This record gives sequence, structure tokens and C-alpha cells, in this order.
Amino acid sequence: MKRALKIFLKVSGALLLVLVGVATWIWFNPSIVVNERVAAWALKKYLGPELVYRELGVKAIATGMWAKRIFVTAQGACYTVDPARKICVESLDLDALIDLYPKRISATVNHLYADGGRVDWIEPDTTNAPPETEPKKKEPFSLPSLPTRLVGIPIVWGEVRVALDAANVEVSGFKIVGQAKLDAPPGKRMELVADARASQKGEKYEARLTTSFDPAKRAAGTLSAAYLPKASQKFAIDGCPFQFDWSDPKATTLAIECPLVARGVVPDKTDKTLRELLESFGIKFKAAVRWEDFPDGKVTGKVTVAAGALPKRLADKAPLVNVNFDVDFGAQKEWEIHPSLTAQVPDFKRLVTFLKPTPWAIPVPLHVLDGKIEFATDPGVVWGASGGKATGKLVTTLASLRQKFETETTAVFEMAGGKTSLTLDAYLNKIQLVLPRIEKRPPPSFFPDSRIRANFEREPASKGMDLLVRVHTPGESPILLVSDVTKTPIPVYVNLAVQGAATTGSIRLGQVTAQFFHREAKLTRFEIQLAERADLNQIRAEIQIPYTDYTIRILLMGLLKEPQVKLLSDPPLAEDQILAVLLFGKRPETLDRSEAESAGSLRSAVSDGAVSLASMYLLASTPVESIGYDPVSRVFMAKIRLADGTSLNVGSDAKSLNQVGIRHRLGSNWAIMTYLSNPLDPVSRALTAFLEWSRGY
Amino acid sequence: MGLRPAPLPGKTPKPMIFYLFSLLTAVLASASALAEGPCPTVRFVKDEISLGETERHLVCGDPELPTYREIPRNQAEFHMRAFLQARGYQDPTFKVEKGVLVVDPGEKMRVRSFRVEGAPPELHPERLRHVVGEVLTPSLLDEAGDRVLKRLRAEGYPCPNVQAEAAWKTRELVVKANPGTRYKLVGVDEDVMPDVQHGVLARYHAFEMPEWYNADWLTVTRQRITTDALVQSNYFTARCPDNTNEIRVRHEVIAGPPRLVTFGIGVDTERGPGVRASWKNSRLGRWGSLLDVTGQVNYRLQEVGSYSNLYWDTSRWYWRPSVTLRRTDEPKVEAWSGDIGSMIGWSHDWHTWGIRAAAGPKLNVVRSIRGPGRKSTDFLSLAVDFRITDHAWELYRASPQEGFDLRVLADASQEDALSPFSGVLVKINFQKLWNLFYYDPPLFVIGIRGGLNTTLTSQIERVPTTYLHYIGGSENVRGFERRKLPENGALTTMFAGLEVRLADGLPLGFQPLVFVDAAKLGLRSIQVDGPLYWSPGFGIRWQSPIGVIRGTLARGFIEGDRGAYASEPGYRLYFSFGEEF
Repeated sequence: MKRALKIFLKVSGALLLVLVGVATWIWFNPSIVVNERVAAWALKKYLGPELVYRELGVKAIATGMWAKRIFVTAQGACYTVDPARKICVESLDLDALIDLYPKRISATVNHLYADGGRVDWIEPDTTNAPPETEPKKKEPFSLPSLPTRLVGIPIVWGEVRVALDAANVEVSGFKIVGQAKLDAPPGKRMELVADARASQKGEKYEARLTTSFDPAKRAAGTLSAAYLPKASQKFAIDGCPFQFDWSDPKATTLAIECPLVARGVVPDKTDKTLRELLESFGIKFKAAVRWEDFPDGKVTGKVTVAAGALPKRLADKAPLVNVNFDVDFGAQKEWEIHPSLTAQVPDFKRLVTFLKPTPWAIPVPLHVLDGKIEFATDPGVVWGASGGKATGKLVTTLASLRQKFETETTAVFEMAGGKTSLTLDAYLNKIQLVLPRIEKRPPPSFFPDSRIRANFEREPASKGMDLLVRVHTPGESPILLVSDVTKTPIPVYVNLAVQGAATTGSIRLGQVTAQFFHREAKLTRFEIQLAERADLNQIRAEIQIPYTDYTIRILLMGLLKEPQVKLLSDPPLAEDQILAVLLFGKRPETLDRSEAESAGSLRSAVSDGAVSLASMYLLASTPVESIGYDPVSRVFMAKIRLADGTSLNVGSDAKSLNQVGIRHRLGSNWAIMTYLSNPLDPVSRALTAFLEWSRGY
Repeated sequence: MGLRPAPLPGKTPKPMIFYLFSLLTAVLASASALAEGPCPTVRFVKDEISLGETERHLVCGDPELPTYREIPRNQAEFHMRAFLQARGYQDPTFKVEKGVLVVDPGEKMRVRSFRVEGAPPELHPERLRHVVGEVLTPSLLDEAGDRVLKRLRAEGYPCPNVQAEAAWKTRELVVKANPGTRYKLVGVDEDVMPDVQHGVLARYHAFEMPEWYNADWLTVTRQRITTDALVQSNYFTARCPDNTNEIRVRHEVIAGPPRLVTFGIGVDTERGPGVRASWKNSRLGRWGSLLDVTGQVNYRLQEVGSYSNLYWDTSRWYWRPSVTLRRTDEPKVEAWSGDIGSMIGWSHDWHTWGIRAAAGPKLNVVRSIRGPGRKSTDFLSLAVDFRITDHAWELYRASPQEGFDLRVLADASQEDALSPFSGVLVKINFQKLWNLFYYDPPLFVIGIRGGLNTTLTSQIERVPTTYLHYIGGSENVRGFERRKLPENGALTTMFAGLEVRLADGLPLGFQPLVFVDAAKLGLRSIQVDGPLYWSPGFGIRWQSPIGVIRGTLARGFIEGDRGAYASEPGYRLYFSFGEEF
């Protein structure tokens, strides 16, 4: 029994010694168990066939009693999660030291080099996937960083270099390709250089990030990014310094400042000068954003865009137009912004010079003005996801030797319920403009006649913004129009509202004196009331013409297109007497037949509302030879005498007149008359032409 | 331009002088093609377009007004577009060459199609000419609108609204008409004239009431009043009332002085140069009666006469006393004559035509110096003057194109009733014009005219020379001499004529015409015998600023037995002034 026990003990002791010896041998020769074969077996067992590699090298050596060093190299290693998701590395080199001393067991990665990395990752589309029933537990924000423990063993990282040569990632149809290099030298901040390019539905994105960061606290570096919605368009920021700080667990902040480049934004058909202006804008972009509970929590911040147009062909360096756009914003469930915009044309004359060769040249007489134009939004503008309201003011301070153009325009831009509206209230504080010289003959059509179009189909009205423009003149400061027609400027008071195609309101002229009907006439009243329908526009006007014995008053009233003319006098004269005096400066009994017919025709025409304001003005300001009127067709024709002695027909073509008889006036009381010489006898009738003198009494 | 052509293989190159010449020609041609513009900053690539002074200021600048001294190019282009549009250039192109605005006006665009929307069917817009084919300008739109307006106002719509617009790509012109309510004219509110009874103007109305409003008939009314010189000027105004289809118009007048004295010298197409003087009081008494004294002297006629239309109320009845003394010197007749008449007259108008009738005794004195008939005849006659006239005839009196006119004049004398003979002088004349296809303005005007002049008597040897009839000349058969047939006068003449005139189509308003006239004579009352005198011919009419000038060339023919009326036919050239048909 004892012997058996002894034998057993000896054998057991021997076995134990062998075991200890083997263990000791293994302890000091760990490559016996930590080698390629064991590693291959373990990888296959735990990671399955999804992990493949071309070569695998695993070597472990004991560098001390407790210290073991492991070298792992791999070539052509790939891990395939599924056919759409695969991560490969061409070359992996790991050098790690494991301290197995029980009280300080740890691992130190001396270096980790991964080169030739490649990621092909197509994330399944989860757009139609049922929502997760339990929300994910939120973690404080931090950047992905190297693990600090592995199966409970703390890890100390040495040099880490990861080179991702190609990444092909697709998430929800969004394709990203790029490469990145991560360099984490021991004891220093991590360095990451990443390039990525993405595209979706023809739109392209490019980004380059160079940053050094502390995964637990902050990142700083430069960011370049570009958005290319079309092949010809590009919005880009280049080398913008930024700071991204998440060290405060309660708030994450981002600060970035950089120039913004916009290319291809101006449509191809744009005039080259305007393109030059628009493309000459130098834009600076600055943003400071703060997230609470990043990235889903409340976000606040400020974005500033400052731009100045500096076209190349303007010799000096002062910007032509300055624009500054600030946005204070905040968002939690719904975003809200507080934008402010200022814009300035500091030197209007330079703008005139710049725009002169373009289709947007400032028209005469405004093109001689100088001064500045400024716009600024009011403080307190709030804009949210459901819309908002912004107000601002445009101020022009322009003047030239004989002109002024000082205005204040308040703008209200509102968006609510899917509708946008812009209301402009323009106050014409001090306006004085010079009118062109007006010939005393029918003026030409200054504007193309809108009745003649390329096609009958009208352009559909845009369903965009509701635009309302109101124009006012302060009571004490009318628009002053400098004209050669009057000795003093013509004061004009306007109170207009333009909405869509309709213009309503009133235009009123102050008292003015002008030469009318060869006299110094006084325009005591002139007011046009504009209705929503242009054909219902109304006029009210009164002209007083003083004569030696009486004063004639011409009243115009009713529809603007067909004004009713009333002729009054003090002391009272009959209407035909007034017309005789106005047109020919005579009493009716002293008119010759042609003059009387002309006076009658004018009376007929004005009674019928067939004399336009322009014709009335011409009749009043030029010597009249004759007037004809056909009430059937309402054709009105006047023959006026020009300064050079020639005559000119005003109004309709004379051939349209249904002439009563054949009578050709030669001068006062003289005419060529053609009539039947023997009207009672049709057989012997004959037409006679007489040079005839006649006089009524 | 100026490119040197490569010599063709196998052909001898032309001498250098040829190329120099070609080059010079090309340079000159291109220089003329680049016509000069209105100013150094604007140039037309083709024909020079003349701009007015204001137009030039707005395109080139106004050197006398510093503010407008220089016009920005875009503004110059904008205004130029409007100026060119007014001249029919609807699609001009602009470019800038060495700081000069080069304007290519393109082609003048002409209207290819024309329609009227919203018009009543009686308007017949297809009859409106001079729209299709005309240069598309804003004035043409105005004119087209005015013409539609005019037609609507003649069809019962006094207050229509029309709007014309055009599409130049398709060259379409459309007039959108809103005729409004069709009104019946139920009354006229007449202006008050000093010293004249209210209502006298109604005797000139060329319409009945109630009847559909027709502005043309209002015009005829105006013409009648103006012709009679009752007032210096008159016109109608209409204000369309709401909620009814009845309208009253206002007849407004400028009375002017009632008396008019005239003196003239001139040319009578039939009788040569002459002088004429008249005195007229067109508002005699409270009923607006007329008194006219006229004297005229020319080679063929010396006449002094006076007549008066005396009204005794506002009705259309009047008494017409008259006295005339004249001397005539016609190819076949030379005579002194005079008459004193006293006729009662009346007139009435229906919707489209009216009648005038007058009848009364007339004491005649005839002293024949030369020609057939009695040398001296004093007789009393009953004179009748009856006339039916279409309103359209009156409306287009200055430019005849449609309507009819029938006039019957009769003078009846009875032997022993202060007359040495018994006889009735009857003159029936008519004219009818058609506007072929009713075009506006007319393209072809077809006219017929005719007449029957006869003296009903069995005492030819006793009748005065004024009771004998002659033919020849522009008033009946244009291929024969004026009033040369027959030698000693006839008791009956009958004539008819057909004329076709191209009223529109030639430039400058010239209107060619062709015609054929025919006439017969008779030595007995209401009986024609002997040959047929007829004459085809052609001519031209020109509406001059002072009246119509006509020239006709006709060839006279005589068909049948010439008998006692033999005459040598030949070519006859007539010029007339003011005469129609």
C-alpha cells in the first residue's frame, strides 16, 4: 500500500516536475503556444472563416520573468462581415509587451503599423426598417479612440500608424471614397489626415481634414471641403482653421473661420460684366457653434458671412459692394435663427461706371447721381422652421448738381404657412429729377407697345413671393421734376401701392405754372387715382388760364383714358366761346368757318372723351391749324403748326375721318371749296372748285 | 467681302485689275450696307431709319441737356426697340462693335392673319381690308381697333370696348371686342340754340325712333346740318345707361353766327372759270328758316337767284319761295330764263332711306337767243321735285361706294293756264352703287346710272328750249360731245351706264375704272327711236386733297339707222373735277 503510495507520489512528483519544467519552458519560450498555428486555430475558432489572410506571423518571446513580447505580422488580411462589408489590410505589424506580473498585469503596444488598409462597407438601407423600440442609451460624445483595456487588461499604446489607402463606404445611398492616415505617436496628440470624396444623385462632396486631436478633449486643425452640386458649380472652403472641443461633458463647441469660394453659381447666360461682379465677391465665413448634448441636443451659435465685390477692372481696391450677413442661431427640437444683414454700395458713381456697359446700366437721369446706398436689417429678427419675419431698411443718399435721390425704404420679409411675402415701403424724402426736353410735337413711344408680343401666350405669373411695394412722398417734400415746360420744378406727390400687376393709389401734382394756350396758365389741381383695373383709373385736374377780361377754367375729370373736359369761365362764357378763345384767341363770332369747325370738332371730341391727355397738352402748347373728329369711330385728328413753319397731324390718320365735305383750308377765312354748282338738276350738275373767302357774322 | 477667288483649274487667272476692281466694289458695297446711324454711337446695319428729334435725344443723348448728354447703351437699345416697333420692326437685334451700338432692325413684319373675337356675327370682320398684309405697328393695332369700334357703333352698340393685340412670331392680329349692350335709340336731347325754337334740328334726323342705334345715321344727320350751314358745328354724344337697352343721345351744337357771306373764284368742270358770291342766313326766324342769295358768272352760265326754306314750326314741312334769273350759253342753246317759284316741301326718313318732296307753282320766263324752240315763252308750271335717297349714299358722299339715289323732277304746264302750251317735263334720274363683296374699304365699286328725260306734249313747236333734251358728254354717254345730240333737241332721252371702279389697290389713291354708256333719243314723248348711242371706255379717278379728279377716254358708237340723228362717232377725252360717276 505504502509502496503503491510511494510509487504514486514519485510518479506524481516526476510528472509535476515535468509539468513544471514544461510550464517553465513554455513560460520562457511562449512562442511554443503563441505561434502562427495556434493563432490560426484561435482566429478560425473565434472569428470563423470570414477572416482570411495571405501570411500570418506570430512570435512571442520572454524578455523577462514576467515580461513577454509578442510580434504579430500579417499580410493580405481581410475580414468579411458579409459580401457588402469587408475590411482589409495589406500589412499589419504589431509589437506588444505584456507584463504578466500579477499585480501590474498590463499590455503595452510598442507599435502598431497598419498599411494598405482598405474598407469596403455598404451599410444596409434602414430607411424602411421599423424604429427601434428602445432608444439607445446616450453616451457622452467623444471621438473614436484606441481601446484602453482588453479583457480587463489595461493597454498602453505606443506608436500607432494606420494608413487607410482606400475606403469605399456607402450609407443610405451616400457613397464615400477616400483615404486616411492616423498617426499616434506615444505621448503626443493624435494626428489624422483624411481625404474623402462622396457623391449622391449627381452631387459631389470633397473634404480634407488635417487635425491633431485628443480623443477625449478636443481637435484642432484645418478643414477643406467642397460641394459640387453640378460639374460646373463649386462651393468650397479651403484650409479653414477650426477647433472642435468636447472636453466639457455638458457642451461641445466648434469654431471655424475661412474664406468661402463659390464658382459656377452665376448662370451661364449672365452678362459677362455682371458675372464679373458676382464672381468678384470675396466671401469670408466664420462660425462658432455650441452643442449641448452633442449632436442631438440644443445647438446655438453664430455664423458670419462677409463679402465684398472687387471687380478686377476697377483700378482701386475699395469694394464696389459690401455685404455682411450674421446669423445667431439655436436649435433643439426646432431651429431658430436671428439673422442680420447689412449691404452697402459705398460709391454709387463707381457702380454706375461698372454697370455702364452692361444690360443693367443705371438709366438716365439717375446715372449722374453720386452717393451711397445702404441696407441693414433691424435687430431682433427671429426665424424658425415654421417661418419668421425679417425687417430692414434701404437708404439711398444720392445727389448730383441738379438732382437728388434721397429715399428710405423699409422692407418686411415674412414667411409663414408655406407663403413668403415681401412688403416694401418706400419714402421718397427728397427727390428732384431732370426730365428730358419735350418737343412740341407728338412724342414717340418711349416704351415698346406691350400689345405686340412674340406670342399670344403670356408668361405664367410666378407663384413665388407676394410682393407689395408702397411708394410715398412726405407731405412737405414732393418729388420735384425739372422740366423745360415749366419755369419752376413740378411738384409731384405720390402714394402708390403696387401688388402683382395692379397699381393703386394716387399721383398728385402741386400747383405749377406753364404756358398753356399761349398764356401763363396755372395748374391748380392734377390728381390721378389709380384703380386695380387700369381702365378705371380716374383723373381730376383743373387749369386756370387768365385773360384780360375773364379767367378760363379747364376741368378734367372721370376716367383717365377718356377724361371728361368741362370748360368754365369767370365771368361765364358759353362753351363754344371758351373753345374759340382757347384755340384761336378769338370770340366765336370772329372765327372763320374752318376755325369754327375745328372748335366744334374739339368740343365734340372732348365731350366724347376722345382727346387724350397728350393730345390735350399738344393742343394747349402749339398753334392749331385745324381739328377734325369723327364721333362714329371716335377718331380725333389735329393739325398743329410746328416751329419750323411746317404742319403736323396729331392723332389718327386723316383718312380715317369721315369728312363732311371737301374743304381745304388755306388760311384765315380762305379755303378751296368743292361743291355742286347746280344741285337742283342732276342732269346738268357739275362740280365746282372755288377759291373762296367767307365770313360769318 | 473682298475675298480673292481661287482660279479654277484649267482656266487662265484674270488680270490683277479685275481683283482690284472686285475688291473696290465689295468695299464700297459693304460701306453702303453699313448705313450711317443717327449719331456716332448708334449705327444701322441696313437702310438708314430716320429718327425724330426726341427719339434721337433718347438714343444718342441730348447735347444741350447735361443730364441727358449720354444715354447708357441698354437704355438706348430699349428706346430704339420701341421706336423700331412703331415702324414695324418687331425683332431687331443689337450688338456692340467698338463702342458703337449696331442695330439690325430686321425685316418689317406684316400681318398674316386677322380675327375679331367677341364680335356679333353682323360685324363680318373678314370684310375689313388693309389689315392683313399691312406692316405690323402699334398704329395698325389702333386703326384695326378703331375700325371694329366704328362698325360696332353702326350696328347698335354705342359703347363697345375693343382691344387689339398681335403676335409677331405668327404675324397674327386679334381684336378682342366687347360690344356691350345693343341699344335702341329712343330720343334725342337737343342743345338750346339762341333765338331758335327747340326741336328744329329734328328735321335733319336721318333715322326713326325707336330704332337700333346707328352712329352712321347720326353722322348723316350731322352732314345734313353742316351742308345747310344751320350751325357751325354739331355732334352727338351717347352715354350708355345701365339696366336698359334704350338710349337717348345728346345733340350738341356750336351755333356760330347765322349769316355767312362768301366770295370765290374757281373752275367749273362744265363751264370753265368763274366767280361766285353768296349770302346766306341759315337761322332766319325762330323756326330756323333759310334764306340764300347766290350769284355766279362763268362762260356758260350767268345766274343770280335766291331761295328760302321757310318753316312755320319744327316739323319737316316748309314753304320754298324762289327766284332765279339766268343766262345759258350751251352748244345748242343760248337763252335767258328766269323763274319765280313757290313750293311746299316735306321730307321724311326711315331707318335706311329718306324721301324729299316739294311741289308748287312756278312762273317761268324764257327768251331763246339761239337754238330750237320758241324764242319767247312765259308760262306757269306746276313743279314737282321728288327724291329718294339711301342714307348710305349720303354717308359716303365724299367717297361714293354704296347706296342709291332716285330723283324725279317734273314741270307741268297747261295751255290757257297762264301758259302758251301744254306739256309736262319729266326728268327721272337714278344711281345705284354696290360695294362688291362689302369690303371695307371697298375694293371694287360697281355703279349703274340711268335716266329718262321726256317732255309730254303734243305741241313741240311751242315748248320752250328748256323743255328739249340733249345727250352727250360726261353726264350720260361719254363717247360723244357734250349735249350735241340731237341737233335740234329731243322730246325724250334715255340713257344708262355701267361702271366698274377699282376703288383701292393702286398707289397714291389712283382708281382705274371701265365703263359702258348707252343712250337713245326720241322726237316724241316717252318714245325712243333711231340708233343706239353707246360708248365703252376707261378712265382713272384720283382723290386729290381738294376734290376728285377724273379722266375718261371713251369711244362712241352708233348702232342702227342713224336717220336724222347722224353724227360722227369718235374718241372723247373728258377731265372732270369733283364729279362722281
